[in-house]
Amino acid sequence: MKICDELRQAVLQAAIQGKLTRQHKEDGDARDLLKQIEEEKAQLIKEKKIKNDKSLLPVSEEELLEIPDTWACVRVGKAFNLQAGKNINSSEISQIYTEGSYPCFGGNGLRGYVKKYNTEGHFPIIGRQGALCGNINLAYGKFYATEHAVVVTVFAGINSNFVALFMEALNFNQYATATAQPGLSVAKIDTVVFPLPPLAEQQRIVAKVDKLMAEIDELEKVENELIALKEAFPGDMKAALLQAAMQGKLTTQRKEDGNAKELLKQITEEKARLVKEGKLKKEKPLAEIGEDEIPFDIPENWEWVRLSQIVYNNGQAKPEDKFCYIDIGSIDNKNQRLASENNVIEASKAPSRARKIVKFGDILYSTVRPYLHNMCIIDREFPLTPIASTGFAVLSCFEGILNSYLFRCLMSPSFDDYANDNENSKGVAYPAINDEKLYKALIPLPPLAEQERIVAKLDKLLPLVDGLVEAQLMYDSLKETLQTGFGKTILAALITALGKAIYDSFSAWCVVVYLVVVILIYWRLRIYDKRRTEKQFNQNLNDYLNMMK
Amino acid sequence: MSASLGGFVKSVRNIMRQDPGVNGDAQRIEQLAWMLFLKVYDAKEQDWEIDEDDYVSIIPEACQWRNWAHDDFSGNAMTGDKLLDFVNITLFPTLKKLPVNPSTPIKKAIVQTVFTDANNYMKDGVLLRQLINLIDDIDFTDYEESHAFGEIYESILKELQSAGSAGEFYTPRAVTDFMAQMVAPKIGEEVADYACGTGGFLISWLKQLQPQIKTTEDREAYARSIYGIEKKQFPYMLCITNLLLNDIEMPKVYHDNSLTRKVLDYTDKDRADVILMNPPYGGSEKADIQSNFPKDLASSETADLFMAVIMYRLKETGRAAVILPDGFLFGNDNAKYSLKKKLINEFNLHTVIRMPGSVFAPYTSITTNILFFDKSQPTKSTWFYRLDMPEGYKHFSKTKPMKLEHFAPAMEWWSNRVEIADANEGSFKAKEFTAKELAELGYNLDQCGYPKEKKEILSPEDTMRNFVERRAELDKLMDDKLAKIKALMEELD
Repeated sequence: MKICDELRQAVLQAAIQGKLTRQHKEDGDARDLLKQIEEEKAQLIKEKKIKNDKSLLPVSEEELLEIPDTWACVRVGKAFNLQAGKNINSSEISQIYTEGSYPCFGGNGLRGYVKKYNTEGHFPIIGRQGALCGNINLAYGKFYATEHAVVVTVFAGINSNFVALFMEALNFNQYATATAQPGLSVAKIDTVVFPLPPLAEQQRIVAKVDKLMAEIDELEKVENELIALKEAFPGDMKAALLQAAMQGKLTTQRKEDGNAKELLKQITEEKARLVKEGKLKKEKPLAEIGEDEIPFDIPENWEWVRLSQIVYNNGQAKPEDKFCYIDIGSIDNKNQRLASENNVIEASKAPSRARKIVKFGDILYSTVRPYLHNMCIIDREFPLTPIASTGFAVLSCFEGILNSYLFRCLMSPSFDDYANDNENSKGVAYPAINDEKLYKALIPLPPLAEQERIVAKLDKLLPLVDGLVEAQLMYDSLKETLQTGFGKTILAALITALGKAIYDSFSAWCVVVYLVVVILIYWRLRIYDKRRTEKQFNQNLNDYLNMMK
Repeated sequence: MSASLGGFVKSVRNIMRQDPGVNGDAQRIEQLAWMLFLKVYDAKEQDWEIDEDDYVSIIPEACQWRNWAHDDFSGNAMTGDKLLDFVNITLFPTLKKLPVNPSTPIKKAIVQTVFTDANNYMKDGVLLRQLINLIDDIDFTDYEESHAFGEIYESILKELQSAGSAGEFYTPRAVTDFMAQMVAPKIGEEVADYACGTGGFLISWLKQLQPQIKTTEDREAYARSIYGIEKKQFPYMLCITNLLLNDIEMPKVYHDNSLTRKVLDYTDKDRADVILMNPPYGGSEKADIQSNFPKDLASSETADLFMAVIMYRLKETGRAAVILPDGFLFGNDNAKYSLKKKLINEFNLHTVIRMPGSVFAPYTSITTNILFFDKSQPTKSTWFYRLDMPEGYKHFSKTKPMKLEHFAPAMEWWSNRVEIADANEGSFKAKEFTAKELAELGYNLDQCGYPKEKKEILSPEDTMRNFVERRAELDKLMDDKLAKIKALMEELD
């Protein structure tokens, strides 16, 4: 739960206990105010304008609330007059306000606008139907209340804003019937005990709560930003690591690795050989890599290459026998892994998209919505021939290209930028990258040995990001506990309870146990000290930094 | 040399790596620094000998670079043990003990100052010879080359991987030049940079001022027109050397920490006509440094502290241009809020130029802004202008760095200020905000920013640093607000 939400509850709680205000003698006694209410009500009851409240029992000793001396405890039905509105056909309610229509209040506040009204004035309204029943709204002027909206009439000059505030604090929802459609009866609300301060103090409470709530709203903005910051961090961190890896910043460049130019030459020769042997199709010559295409600087012994220079295509085939079908559903896109179950399909029932030939070690990259990272490496054998959907690009790496390196590349932010760029992803409703664009994509190519080091480093670092998140969560929950004082409250309660036990029994053993427990508790508290958790978190970060050097 | 700068640094490192005496990058830097200094100083002395008839070098003849280091490839140049012995037994003791007294001109005393803390770590005379030859090949005679100093420093820093954590980024020349041009220096004015690094701003200032020199008095005023402080020894040495190259024979640049004086103690004589700065962000300082600042301005962020220093050290008639990260513009912790409030209420913050993200590429991708302000009057209104990437550029990089001409749209707009709306509704490339509007925005100066369609990918270090910093800021803000709420609850009425 957010600190702000807890604070709001705490403020309301303190308000109805008279802890937000000072009690002044000159405010008078709320019991006098009660008398005034009784007199006003008696007159109106006599005139049959409001319902009779005689049936309500006086507040018993056990029901008395903890309130200041100048306040009074009174049942809601005695202090106010509660009256539910009248049913209205939902067809009469319009969602749009038009000239001459009136707001219509139902069980959850404003329902819409209607052409007639049944109440006029300034009233708190209690919603009495639905999961949110007990919710409080304020209505002004002429409005229509449905049978699910309980209109609260106030007396003796009491302010409706004050009543709404206290009713919210009393949380009527706790009295709702535990049925599928929770509800509150007026009779039930009538019996709830209401703490009533003198008039002047009511005003001060409202002013004070308004001020505090405004501050809490400000606090909430900060808290929301903090939450968003923390939520975004693991993703940002992973992206940053992948990006740094692709720039050669996670690894040192070693002379003995040689350079990617030689590697590329070998691959090109190999390709030419395969074309000559008829194993590969001859490709159109590639466009030179333009200066403005290059997204970032790479180390000197690396090369920028187009994807098509380092991978080849297995081609397509129509399934002629039972086969294992790999489609987007076969991929766990949280972990970018291939699912362990096989989707076995008869050749006769093969979907028209089941065409792509797949080998062990190939990379499957979904060309539809590339940002979803529906991709995997074929890292296991299949009981039957695997065939992939044409929604994938199937990439087989030439020797000298580590499939796990290329895989990380395809996941990196700069590749995502390219693949999800509107110019490259055709069709806004169905963004996809076509094969031509995909194979033209630029890949930063390090020598083989460095590819291996990059993958090893990322394998070490990426899981650590999750570790960081765990440490973060622990830190947060503890900090929150300490901030809200919840931990301290428990502690104080324990110490008090034990102290009482000792007082009662007065045995030497109890004293010893008491002292040991107190010491233990303080020791625990020290361990959970917020600074320590903070330190631990920062330590984690440092380990992290060191590892990257 | 600029073109092969990376190559130069690489060769230097490769040579020194083979030497058994040099351990680690710190020693490598020190070794390089004194050698570069001697080379430059020698070049300078040759000029002075021509200019002044009775010029006498403080360095004994045998120890002058031209006489012991220069290799004419006649086979006579010292090498091996002979060279090593010369450096260790003759050169260093001599230069460390040069006769210096208070009346010695700075341009001479500097030699002794530089050598006081310098060491020769190299133990292999042959490698030392190779290194000397490499340095001797550099031609430090034009502006381009002398500005390359900063780049050398940066390249080495980058190798050290400390550029990020120390927060010292070399400010690209295009940016220092633009700022110097916009503050329009005049003869007789003094510029100050309280974290001057290798002196990039000071050089850009001098470059702007030089064409205005008409008389000998002008020349003297020109030579007196700079003031700098640098905390670190190595950039300090490079800065001095750099200024010597630019004919500032008595550079008023001090090896000191600008944050160690109480800001309230500054008097008029400590104040400058113009301040040009790119203060270090996220640098580390001892906590007690904060006690030198009024409570509402105390911060753990060095950029904030420097901003406070700037405000206290600007003359009543002064002007300033300062580079600050986006965090300063939107930050709402106590110190940043108070600084910005002060900036609006006591200074005339007339212009904020928002620079593109990769200006400091490849060292950091942090986005920065230039704040232009003076002390003429409280701010009436502030113009924000976003400088977009020049056409054809996706980002700046080592090979395609920012150039002065990329500021052309900003300069054109500068003298003819108009509101420019973006094609997308609601956002602006340039817009004027009144002081009242800014106050209502809670002094959030993050206006006319880049449309955030694409998320900038920072380095892992920057990502973590940003996260930790922002979290600390927000935590602090939460704590402050909670304390406020607590106080409000306790004050009963």
